[in-house]
Amino acid sequence: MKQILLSVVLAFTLQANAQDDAVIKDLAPVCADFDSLHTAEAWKAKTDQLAVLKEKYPESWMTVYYYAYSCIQMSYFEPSLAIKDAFVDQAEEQLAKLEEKCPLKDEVFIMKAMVANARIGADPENRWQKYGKIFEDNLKAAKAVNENDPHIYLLKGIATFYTPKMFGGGAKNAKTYFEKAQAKYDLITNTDVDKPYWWGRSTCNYFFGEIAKELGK
Amino acid sequence: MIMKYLLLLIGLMPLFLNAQTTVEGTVLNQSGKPVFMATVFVKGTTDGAQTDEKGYYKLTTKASGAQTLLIRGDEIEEQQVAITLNGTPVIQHVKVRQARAIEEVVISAGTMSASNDRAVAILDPLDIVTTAGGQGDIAGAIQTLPGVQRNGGDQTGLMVRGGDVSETSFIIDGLVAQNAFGSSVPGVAQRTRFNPFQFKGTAFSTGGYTARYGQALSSVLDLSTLDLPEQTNINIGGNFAGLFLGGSKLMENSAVEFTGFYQNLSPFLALAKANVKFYEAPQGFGFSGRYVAKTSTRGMFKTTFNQSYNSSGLEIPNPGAAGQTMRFGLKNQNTYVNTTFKNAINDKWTYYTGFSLSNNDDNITWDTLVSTRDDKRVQGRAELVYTPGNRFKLLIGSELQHFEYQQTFDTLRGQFEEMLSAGYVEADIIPFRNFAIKPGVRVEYSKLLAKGNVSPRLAMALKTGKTSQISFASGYFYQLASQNYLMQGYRPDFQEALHLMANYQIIAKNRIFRLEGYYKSYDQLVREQGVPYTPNAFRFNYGMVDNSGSGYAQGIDVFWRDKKSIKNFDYWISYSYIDTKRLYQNYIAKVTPDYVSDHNLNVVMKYFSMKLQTSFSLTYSYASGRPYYNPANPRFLGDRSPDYHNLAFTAAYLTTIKKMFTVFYISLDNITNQHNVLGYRYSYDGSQRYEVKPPFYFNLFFGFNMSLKEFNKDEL
Repeated sequence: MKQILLSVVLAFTLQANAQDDAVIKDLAPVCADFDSLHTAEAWKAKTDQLAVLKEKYPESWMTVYYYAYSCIQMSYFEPSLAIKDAFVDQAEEQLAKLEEKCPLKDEVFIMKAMVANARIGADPENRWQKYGKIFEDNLKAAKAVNENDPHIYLLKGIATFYTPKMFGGGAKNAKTYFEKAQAKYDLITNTDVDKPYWWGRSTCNYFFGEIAKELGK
Repeated sequence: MIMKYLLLLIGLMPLFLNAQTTVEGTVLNQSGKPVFMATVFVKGTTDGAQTDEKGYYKLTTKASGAQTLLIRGDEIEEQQVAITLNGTPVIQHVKVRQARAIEEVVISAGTMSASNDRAVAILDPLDIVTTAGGQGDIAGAIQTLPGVQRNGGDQTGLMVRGGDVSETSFIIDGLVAQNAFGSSVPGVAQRTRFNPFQFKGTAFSTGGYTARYGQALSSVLDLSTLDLPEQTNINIGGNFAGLFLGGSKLMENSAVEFTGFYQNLSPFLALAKANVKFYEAPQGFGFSGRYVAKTSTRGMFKTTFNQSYNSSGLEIPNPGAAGQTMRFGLKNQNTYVNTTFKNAINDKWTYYTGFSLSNNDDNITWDTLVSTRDDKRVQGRAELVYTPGNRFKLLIGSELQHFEYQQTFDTLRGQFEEMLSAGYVEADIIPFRNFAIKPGVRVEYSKLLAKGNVSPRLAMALKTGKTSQISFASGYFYQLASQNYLMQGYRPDFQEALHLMANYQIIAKNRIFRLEGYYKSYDQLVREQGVPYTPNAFRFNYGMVDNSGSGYAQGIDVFWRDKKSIKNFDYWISYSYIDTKRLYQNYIAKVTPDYVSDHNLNVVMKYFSMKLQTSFSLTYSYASGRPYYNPANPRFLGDRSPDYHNLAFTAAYLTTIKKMFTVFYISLDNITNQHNVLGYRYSYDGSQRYEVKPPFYFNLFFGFNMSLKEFNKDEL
């Protein structure tokens, strides 16, 4: 009986692993150039691909994760507030599944922080008060789970960079966070889609350039 | 031979071309509207695309032959369409069934909200402190909204749509704030006792308000305190009139907050052009404490304690003898405790309980005569809310209030004690996705009068477009007679008002337009019989008192706000016209009351300069002349004072000093030094006329606020 049970468990595990392997195989080429996409068209193509992969692998947290990520990126390129919000709504709708399935709890908090940040980005004047707290709380929660997650410092750095100096933001204050992020990226050696800590490395470098420009003014 | 292969390759070319087919089209719902972000893909492949805001999609696939196109998305029923792929571009339009979301239909007649949460908010909480002319006071900012009389500075309270100051009730977290304003001083308007930063939302009702509340013939200002503070912080502030220190400690699911202040208006009075002589500058101190706890996902406990002491001494125009002044000294102590608890029983049921206690003691000297005013109120409220879905909500509640007033004036004494109980039921029903209706009924019983009343309320809203709606609100409202009568032993019946109002509102892309018309009829207003008229509000002889008074108010309110047209520039314009008459108190005819201006206009402008890190606000207020009593005019209250004009300016410079977020602000009121005249008082024989002036003409105020927040400490 024990053996039968073990074989059943093993069969399920193997099946799950096989499923994950298939997802990874399909996702890897789609996500490979994430850090070099800088246009709405490029992100639209990614969102299209990820939307279909999400339908193909409805049980996978990875497709949901990267789809939410691409929706957030789309929101930054979109000029209309209503459409920006529709993209963020899509990303937000993925959070429940992500929370349920994703084993990387720090990245769940990161995605929640990204959603909050995208809400602020859509309408900063009217939203910073509400979503600023949600953003900060989720970064803190992510740090409590895994303080080596570079996304914590990357997101904080970006938010600080775009916060006016009088509110404690600006290039100089943001630099500290990007330096921390870079130190954490240096600890990451792979670009596996099931360990999504790699994305954002080139964004971090881009901001070093922007900070140098700002401080050199 | 080579030629043969080439020919073969050319012959095979169409087959290679067939390997990729483009499919494009639109996805529309049953109403023909585009479906945004639906995923369209070829079944069994990873070839697909998402629709854009026009419902358009375009995908490329290597699949060929008979295939199935799958369409999936939120709130749409999955759709499958058979297509044939052979390399020729395919145009495939798809119709899907989409569950129609309930549009945000909010009853807006009679209600103007200031909130962070609701899209329909007219003002956000920050507006309250950044509006020039509002003097950083909630009541000041509310006066820039339509329907509210511009207070020239001589009256304490809010006067809404023909109602006097006693007809507006202040509510904090569902409980009556009995002494919302500083104790009244004849001819000098007092500020509210609250700090605008305490509140996350303000719902200001200009009439037709919810069955949760009663005892306000005209209006309710419903304030909701903040939940947990954003972060642990410390605030230090100083201004022309005092110092304060506040702070909050945020724990995992709870927070403790405290504030303390000391105020002394001597420096302010030294620079202000005061029309009132202060022989003792207003001064005081106070402290407050607050504990907030999030007890569960939907559970919130809040308790607040406030204590303050104030004193002042000034020479006021003698209310009983025009042209003369008298000394008026006031010492006040006020205690207010407010505790509420909200929680969910399950997904459908929530409950709310609240308790408040207030105690207010005034010691007054009128020249050499000593007077005291003491009042106490204890209130409890309990509510159950049933929400089975997003189209129906039922509220059942009850409240109990015990209050007592005592007054002495030399040898005269007056007092009363009242136990007021009430029960209410109200439902929010959305029978159609663009229509909401809110019926309610409130039943009250007064132990003092041994009488009750039943006040039905009804409000509804119809969404007329994506951004526009029409609302209606109506109801009967009851209020006890003023405590001045009750303290002298008079027991007139409840006063009654009927409100009818209709509102059209457009809220779109940071622009708001509101147009509201209303009619109010007053009945059973308290009247004093058998005594001659005197404009002295502090008279003691009321003669015979009954409920034979009546009146009406009708008018139109317009509000326009635009935050969008010019970057960083925000302005609003509010205009109100009112036609109102009433026969009440010691009036001898049905006339427009002496606190009403027929026309009120406010133009508020705000500009934020990122470069200068400074916000600027300019407010112009206009009110047409108010009636005043001229004994020589046979028409009672037939004269009008000159029009009122005020231009106010505020600037706030935002910066960071040693990691402390700091704001320096300066506010100038009546910058043109306009000598407004609010009315006239006449000597006994009518031969002498004296101007009723606001307490100040031009005045200047400045200060700073420093805040050390946790985020400044680089916690990551």
